[in-house]
Amino acid sequence: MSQPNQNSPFCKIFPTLLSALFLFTILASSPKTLFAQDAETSVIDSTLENLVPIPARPANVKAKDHVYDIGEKVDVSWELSPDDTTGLRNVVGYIISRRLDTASDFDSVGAVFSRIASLTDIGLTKGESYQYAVTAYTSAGAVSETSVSNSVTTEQEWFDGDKFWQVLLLVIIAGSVAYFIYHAKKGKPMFLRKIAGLQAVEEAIGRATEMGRPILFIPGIHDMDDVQTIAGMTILAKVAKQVAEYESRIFVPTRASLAMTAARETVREAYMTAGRIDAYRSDDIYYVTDEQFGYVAAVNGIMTRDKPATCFYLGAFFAESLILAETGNSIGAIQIAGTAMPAQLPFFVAACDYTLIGEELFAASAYLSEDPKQMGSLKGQDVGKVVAMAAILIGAVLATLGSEEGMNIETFNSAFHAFWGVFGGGE
Amino acid sequence: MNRKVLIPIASIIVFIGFVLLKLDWDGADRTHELWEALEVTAGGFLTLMIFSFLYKDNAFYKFAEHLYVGISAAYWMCVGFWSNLAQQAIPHLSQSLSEALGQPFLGYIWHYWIPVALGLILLTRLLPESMKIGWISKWTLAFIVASTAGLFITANLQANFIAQIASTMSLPLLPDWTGFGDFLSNFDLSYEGQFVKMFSNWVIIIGVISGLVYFFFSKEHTGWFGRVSRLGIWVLMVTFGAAFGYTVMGRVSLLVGRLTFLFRDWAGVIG
Amino acid sequence: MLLAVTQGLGPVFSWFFWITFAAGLGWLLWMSITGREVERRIIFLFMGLTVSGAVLAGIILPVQETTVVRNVFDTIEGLSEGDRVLLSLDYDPSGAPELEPMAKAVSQHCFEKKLKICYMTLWGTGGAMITDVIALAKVDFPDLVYGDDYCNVGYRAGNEAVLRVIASDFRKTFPTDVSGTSLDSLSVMNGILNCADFKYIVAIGSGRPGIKEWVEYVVEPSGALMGSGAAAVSAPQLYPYYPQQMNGMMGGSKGASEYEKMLRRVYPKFKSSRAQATEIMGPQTVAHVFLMLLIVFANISYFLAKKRKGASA
Repeated sequence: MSQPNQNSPFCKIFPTLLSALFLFTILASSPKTLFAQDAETSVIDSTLENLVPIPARPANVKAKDHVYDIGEKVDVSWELSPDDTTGLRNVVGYIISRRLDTASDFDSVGAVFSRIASLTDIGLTKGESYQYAVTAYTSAGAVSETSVSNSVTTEQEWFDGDKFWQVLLLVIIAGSVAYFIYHAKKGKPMFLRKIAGLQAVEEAIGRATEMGRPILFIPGIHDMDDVQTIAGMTILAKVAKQVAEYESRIFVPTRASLAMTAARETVREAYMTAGRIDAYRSDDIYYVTDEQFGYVAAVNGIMTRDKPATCFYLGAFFAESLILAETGNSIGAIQIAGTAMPAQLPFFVAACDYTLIGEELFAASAYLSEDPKQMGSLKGQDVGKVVAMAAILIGAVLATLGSEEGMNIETFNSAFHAFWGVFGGGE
Repeated sequence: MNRKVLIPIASIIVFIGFVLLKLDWDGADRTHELWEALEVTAGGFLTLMIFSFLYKDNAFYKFAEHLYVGISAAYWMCVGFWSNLAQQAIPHLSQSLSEALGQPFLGYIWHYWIPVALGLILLTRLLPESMKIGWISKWTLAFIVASTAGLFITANLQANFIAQIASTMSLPLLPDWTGFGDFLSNFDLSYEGQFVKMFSNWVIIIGVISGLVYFFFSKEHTGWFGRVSRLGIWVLMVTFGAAFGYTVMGRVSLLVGRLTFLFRDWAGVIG
Repeated sequence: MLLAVTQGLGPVFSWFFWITFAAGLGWLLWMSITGREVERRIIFLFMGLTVSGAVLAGIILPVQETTVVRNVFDTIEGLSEGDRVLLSLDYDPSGAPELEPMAKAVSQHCFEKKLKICYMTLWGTGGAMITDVIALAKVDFPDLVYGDDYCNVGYRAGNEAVLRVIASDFRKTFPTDVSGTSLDSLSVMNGILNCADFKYIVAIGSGRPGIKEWVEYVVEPSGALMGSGAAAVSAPQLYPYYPQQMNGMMGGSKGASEYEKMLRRVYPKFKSSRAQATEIMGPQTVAHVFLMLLIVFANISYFLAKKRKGASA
């Protein structure tokens, strides 16, 4: 039998712990606390309910107007009751109540758990003065004395300082958009890369003319408040002009009534520029219904009955994308699609001859119209992409070195959090 | 009699037959029973009519299509009236009118006249063109475009640009890294494992960057830039594949839902 | 297995059905090997038969739980009695087969936990969907009291603008519920001033306005906690918002069936209630297998044709 190892860590830790505990007990039960407890028990011994130990009250209650709001919030903070994490340790939470300066009674506005020493009260009236009271309570229902705060008047701020970085980014991107628009307006040449689907547009219109069949143009199913619909309309202008020149016919059924009016105007102008206003038929551009699948059913009907030789789907699409593209495919039409709806792109890619993927739709619209505004926004957005790429690269490197989930090297830790915070991370 | 008369009459007779089949005269509330039978039978018939398009375009499909278009256009008009005018504008403008519409009066607020005026201005478009007043409707259009732009820019910038950059950049390329030896000895291919975490973070970051490069229009896609852009289009195509799969699932769900309706609610074959 | 799952059809018919079906598949394979074109209508017919057969057979397959869905479940599980939940049903009848099961399961879960639900919709056609879901949930909870246990504020026009406003002031857009009763007289809405006052928001939607708009206009500015249920079509593009901007998501019927499974695992009393999404997943899987076969056949046909072309050239 071997002797127990006297050098084992347990043998050393245990006595140390014991002595620490002993020391702690002595310190914690200093004469003051001992006396206070004794006094309390001796005085209120008589009734049963008062046997429940009453916690000390939370001290130093402060009320402060919440910054960056419209005058509806107040931050209330206090010091934890001495019986929360130390002392009696019987506090389970705090009740916070408020009153108007002029009123006499406090109304409860909320409660928080123990160890929490602040609360933001909301739904207040701007310019009023309020006072707060905080009480600690125990699971047995005992309530401490109440501490009352200073009086605070709610104020409205004009700007939300928390959004400083957001504004800065907006200024950088919007600023570069404005800068490039200004440049484009001055007629300075701007480089835009070629987009494959665009060359196909003219061919497709030519083919429809040769076959003597109409062209179908769907500017998406959204209203004019969607920028994709607007891009669709810009391309519609080019397409309609060509249609007018080739003396072909174009149908534009729309799902939104405003889109119909816009489309009519666009096509009319295009016919006018082509000098063929006599050939313009406003009845070919019409509103069908707002109901998504009702609209699709109607367009399907148009496709199978009128058999357009070319179908354009340029705008915002949802579930109807595949239904439309499939029907178009079954009637043998050349199909050119473009949308920024990520979920619908797969169907267009699979079922159409050419697809403008996402932003290519806007690029095509800019490229075709050579409109300085569109060219400028496209170039400005490229700046935004550079910002995003740079931020992601820098952030990823910093996160690898400094984040808690990465290598967690102390030197980079604060750098990562500061950089991440600029983009609203880590809240 | 020709087919144009016979087919509709025959269809109506078949429809009535099916309604009678569906009827349960033992039920206590006969009117309710009748309505329910009509509802379910009409649902079943219309479903089959729309399905018939899969065979070829036909009169039944067209009937169902036109019915749908007509009903939905009317439905939206009613919804538009009730939710815009009756529930939002009128309760703030006129007590007697809102009470007449059965809506509670919510107190007069003068600035509710502004949207009403903008709406009326939009209607000037309907006036004959010779009156040359239609242009005024552009004010409303301008208001809609400008206010939505303002609404969209801030929301999009925050939710889809800044917040997305923040969540992408916070992905460490070497997650939970405590040295190469440690990495090798704890090598684990499970979903929670360090290698899988690292791999997914790399895929996300490279995918995002190459995708952004593909959508970069200010530079011709040649050389190394072109190669990254090609990787970007590959990433996009993989994404499309995954999305395609998801959508097929959704579509099949709808088909299953419809067939369940036919078999359960209409035919009553399954319980 | 096939026989076991088709008992509902009567043995003779189910044998006949599946043998014919297998023969049909063989025919499809033969057609693709020999490079013949199969008319699309025949594919439609096959698809219809596959799904019909599976629906009639009532195939139920096991479902695997995933973290994305479990997060929604656990969040609701972690709420305490009386907490308020906002349930926004932004879909129409065409999205109902996928989304109604989610709405029903979440409602059942909330009512079981004695949470109070406020229903709303951003879609004009969503009002009827809410009524349906409430009726379905009430089967298990017949004693629910309107106004005390749940309420329905219905639809307001304005899409994103509605969200923008309710993020900071709920009553500005919804001063009354769907039947014109003031929100102040509904105890469900007691103390609810804006979206962040709800302990949890579950947005169930199939398009726009939908989950993406909820993230942009409510979660980002107000910091409300949100989970979602998305139609399969829009689910992939919503994943970037998980987990930072929404803490969980049910995607399509699969997500709904997972939720149904979790609900039945924790609360066995719901085992008697119809699990709509789980019912869908059986036929769904059969259809997927069929589709995969089609893809394989089509590829065989494609490569054989290419080879023949190469040989003849």
